[in-house]
Amino acid sequence: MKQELVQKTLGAGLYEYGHHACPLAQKWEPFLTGGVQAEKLLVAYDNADYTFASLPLFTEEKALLLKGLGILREAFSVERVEIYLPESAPEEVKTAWAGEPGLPVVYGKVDVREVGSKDLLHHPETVANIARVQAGQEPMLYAQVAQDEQEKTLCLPLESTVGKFVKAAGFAIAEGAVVAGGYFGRMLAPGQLNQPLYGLSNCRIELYPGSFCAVSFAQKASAHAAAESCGRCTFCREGNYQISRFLKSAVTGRGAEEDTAWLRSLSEAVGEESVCSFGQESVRFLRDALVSESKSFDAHIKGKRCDAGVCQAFTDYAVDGSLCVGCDKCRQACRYGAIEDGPGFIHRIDVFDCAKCGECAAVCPEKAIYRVRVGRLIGPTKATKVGRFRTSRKQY
Amino acid sequence: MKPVVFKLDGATVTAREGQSVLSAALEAGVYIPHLCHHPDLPDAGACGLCLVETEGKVVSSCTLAAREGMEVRTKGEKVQARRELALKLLLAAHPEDCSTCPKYGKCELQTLMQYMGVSPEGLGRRLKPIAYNDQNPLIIHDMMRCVLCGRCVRACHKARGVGAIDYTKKDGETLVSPVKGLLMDSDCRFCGACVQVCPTGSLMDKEGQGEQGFTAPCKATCPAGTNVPEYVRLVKEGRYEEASCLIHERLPLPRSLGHICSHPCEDACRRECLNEAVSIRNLKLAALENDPDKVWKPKRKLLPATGKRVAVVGAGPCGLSAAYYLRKQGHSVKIFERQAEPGGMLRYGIPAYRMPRDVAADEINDLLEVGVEVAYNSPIGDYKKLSGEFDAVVIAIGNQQGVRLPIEGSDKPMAYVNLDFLRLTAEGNPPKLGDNVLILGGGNVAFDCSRTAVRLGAKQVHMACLENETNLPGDQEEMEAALEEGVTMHFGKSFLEIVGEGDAITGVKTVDVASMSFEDGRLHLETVPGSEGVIPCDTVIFATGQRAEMAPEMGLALGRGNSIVVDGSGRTGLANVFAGGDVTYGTQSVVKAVASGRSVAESVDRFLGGTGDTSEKLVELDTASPHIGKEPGFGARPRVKNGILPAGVRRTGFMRAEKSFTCEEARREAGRCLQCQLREQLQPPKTWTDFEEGGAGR
Repeated sequence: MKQELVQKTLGAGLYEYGHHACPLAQKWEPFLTGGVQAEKLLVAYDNADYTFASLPLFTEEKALLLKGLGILREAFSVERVEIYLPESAPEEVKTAWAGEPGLPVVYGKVDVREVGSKDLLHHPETVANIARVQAGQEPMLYAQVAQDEQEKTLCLPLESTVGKFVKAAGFAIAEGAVVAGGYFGRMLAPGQLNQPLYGLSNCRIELYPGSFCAVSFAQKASAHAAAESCGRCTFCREGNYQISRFLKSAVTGRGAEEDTAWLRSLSEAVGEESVCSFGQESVRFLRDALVSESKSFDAHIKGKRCDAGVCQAFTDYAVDGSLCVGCDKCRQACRYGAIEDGPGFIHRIDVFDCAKCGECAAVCPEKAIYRVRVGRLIGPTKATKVGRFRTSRKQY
Repeated sequence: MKPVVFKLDGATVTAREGQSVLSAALEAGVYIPHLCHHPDLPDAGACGLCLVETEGKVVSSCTLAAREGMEVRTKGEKVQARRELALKLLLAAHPEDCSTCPKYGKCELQTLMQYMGVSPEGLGRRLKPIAYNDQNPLIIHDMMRCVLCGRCVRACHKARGVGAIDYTKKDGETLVSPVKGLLMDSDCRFCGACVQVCPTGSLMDKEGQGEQGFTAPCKATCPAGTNVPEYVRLVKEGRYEEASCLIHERLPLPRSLGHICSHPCEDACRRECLNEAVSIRNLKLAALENDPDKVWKPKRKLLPATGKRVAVVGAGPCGLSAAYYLRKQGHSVKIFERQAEPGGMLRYGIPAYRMPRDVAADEINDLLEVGVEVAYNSPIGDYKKLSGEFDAVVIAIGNQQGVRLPIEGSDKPMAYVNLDFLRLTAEGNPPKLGDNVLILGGGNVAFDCSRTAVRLGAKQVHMACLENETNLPGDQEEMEAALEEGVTMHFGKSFLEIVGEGDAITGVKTVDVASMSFEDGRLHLETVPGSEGVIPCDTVIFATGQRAEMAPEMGLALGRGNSIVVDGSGRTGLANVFAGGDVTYGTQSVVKAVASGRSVAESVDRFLGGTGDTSEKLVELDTASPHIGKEPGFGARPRVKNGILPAGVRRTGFMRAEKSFTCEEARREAGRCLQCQLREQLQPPKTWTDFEEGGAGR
């Protein structure tokens, strides 16, 4: 019976999900042939996961998870089970699993130092797929696809590519960038979406159809990592703090020449010396980007510019003198009194008073206000009547 | 277990199975810098300092199990750079002000900084916004200095099994704090392991530690060096006989001390800072009362005869102790005692309701039966002569002379002095008392006098003393018992005159004390003008101190209060004459007297050619389990009170006033011990200065 359960699962060629991706056959080897009796079965998301895309498993597909747990328990003759749930899990998830007999729930990250070689640790996605395979169904994968404020969670066959998820979610992207794996993911060009969503700590796909700044994204990722690190390891805790600080300098025009070297050594150390997936994954994006986007890092740190026009410190709002109709809407909308010249005149933004809130650009009926590199002139320098300023419209 | 052999920088190192590379390296004399590793705690691989290179990877050596044939390199560019980076990262989040830190000079982070010679230059420094916290008893948390090595958390969870502190996050900063805000609410057992293992100045004792490291204060304070925490543990475990053996290793007359010891141990007990000190004295008594067969006795040391003869003058606590240990060192000992029975203050001073006579007599007999000869009714006047007849002489005559204040009327027949009054009562011939007795003084001897007067049938008993209620020299419990027995207290009175016609006494004229202080050991007193009054009485007992009965013509140099001047080893000016106990340092305590007697015995033994080592092993102690476990509400557990007879019954006679602990009470009370001694088990961590040639990190 046990043998049958194991064989059927292995026959499907299932992989462990997440950061620790490997064939189940490999993961189970010590228990199946190495003579190790499993002591405890742990079901948990990767420590690096912060999106928990597959949480619907715990509500809509609870029966499936329970079935998977049952199979594992029987296959490995293991009594003790612990279910790890994120502290941020919605109430309905928490209530669905509260008081489940024999299935104690632990909230928070897994303390990897407490996980022994006799403990069997599986991702919820894997547990679900073990149940699916046993029932003769196709293994599946949950993913989140997000663009701007929109976010969709969907479940497709395990082998589905990034592109397939994007399409299934109803998005399309021609230019810009795609990040698979969120803060802890990798950056893809819109033409590179034909690859599976394996080996990442989470399945969040972020679409940046306009401009994308890798330095700015890395900065947000490192700030997230510094805030969310459990804080037990020096490299993860302090390393991410310092990385976030260096990147903050870079995106605000305060970077110094040697910062790139610091970022390189810090990110390597954090990635290689951390004991759990959180630290290891926390610098994945940065380490890739330092190589593939090295020009962008140089531009920010040495050139004090953001070529994508994303980093606010390097851009100003400006009125295009050739488009402005002098309607005065922007001047009335500005809370900072940063816009000069009244109706009939081409409006001008005083960069010293401007708070870069973007309100003026939002209300401009002519779309004549946009962000330009600091110092670039697209309008008149003195009071000028509408129609008197002629120059070709240039983005950035 | 099979040893594991591996290569460390090319050299062969042998490790135990399962041992980490770091631990094996340190044992082999190779220093690898480390911070979160502690020899008594499980390893975490958290700090990033003990990095080594193996199989092309840089890994923490504390969590790297040694494997047969593996090759490990402690040096190398990458290893070194990573280690330095780790230390830089730690330093960047740590205050710069080493010189103002209480851990200065003892901080492990500081030694690492010196060893590796790095600074956090280039990184962004920050001060963690975590406030200094002294809201908890005993332990200060200054987590701004914390480097999150996690030793304290592992000590609390793994070594102790308590789990009162843990990591938490606040405003983006990781910190260690009590799980429920305050240690008291977090079921902390205040064992201090967290403080002991902290490498920085983050967790500190409020009281501070001695230069020599931490010793349980009860043990450190006991004049006799009794191993208090361990016998308290044995009592908790119901192992009374072993406890008794352990007590007898350091303490002669312990059961008597179980009744009347001034218990400096309890005054030093760290639990006092939580609620109340552990009732140590009663626990000692419980141990001894539950060892009826005196299993310690057959095990005691008795060295072969040396042929040397020693005279001991005085059979009080100090003399008995000196005689006992000298006899055990093989000398022939003879005690000269002025009274008809041995015991000194235990027999003639402290009243029987506190010090049951049969208990003292039985214990004294235990000491004398090793072969000490006693000549009773034998006062000694000429020490020089005695010193000619013996190889050595020990004077331990105590302070036997009560002080009669030099005020008018102090020589009236019904004005007694404390020690005479108590001795006569102890001998069964109490002096005649009137109906209204006034005791002058506020020390424990004064309480002995007043409570004795009550028992002798005085209708009214008053006490008057210089001190006010808060700085009374006597014990609080003594005062409470006296008040219950009907004694009236008059605080802050200076005595001017005993008034009355002829021999009769009608009262004591007093004046109120405005302030009092001691300067250079002398009393400075200010009184309130016009506050004179008379406390009516017909009998006065002076209980205002006692002094040695020594005279200059006895041939010994005398100091304050007629005390004998001795050097550090108890030698007087005469070549073979030693002295110990109250007669050398003034009236103190029985426990100090027995300790002094033993110490003098050691000096005399050395003088006579012996080793001076009186130590003996009466019990093989097991090691206390460091895993004390969780106990809800531990911090608030109240002190177990032993029973006491009702005051109305106590007044009627000299039967013992207090009751001993039952075994259940003793076990419960012993369970309140914080077990500070467990800290002594924790090894001091090794730093690079403990290794011969630097180490691997440079």
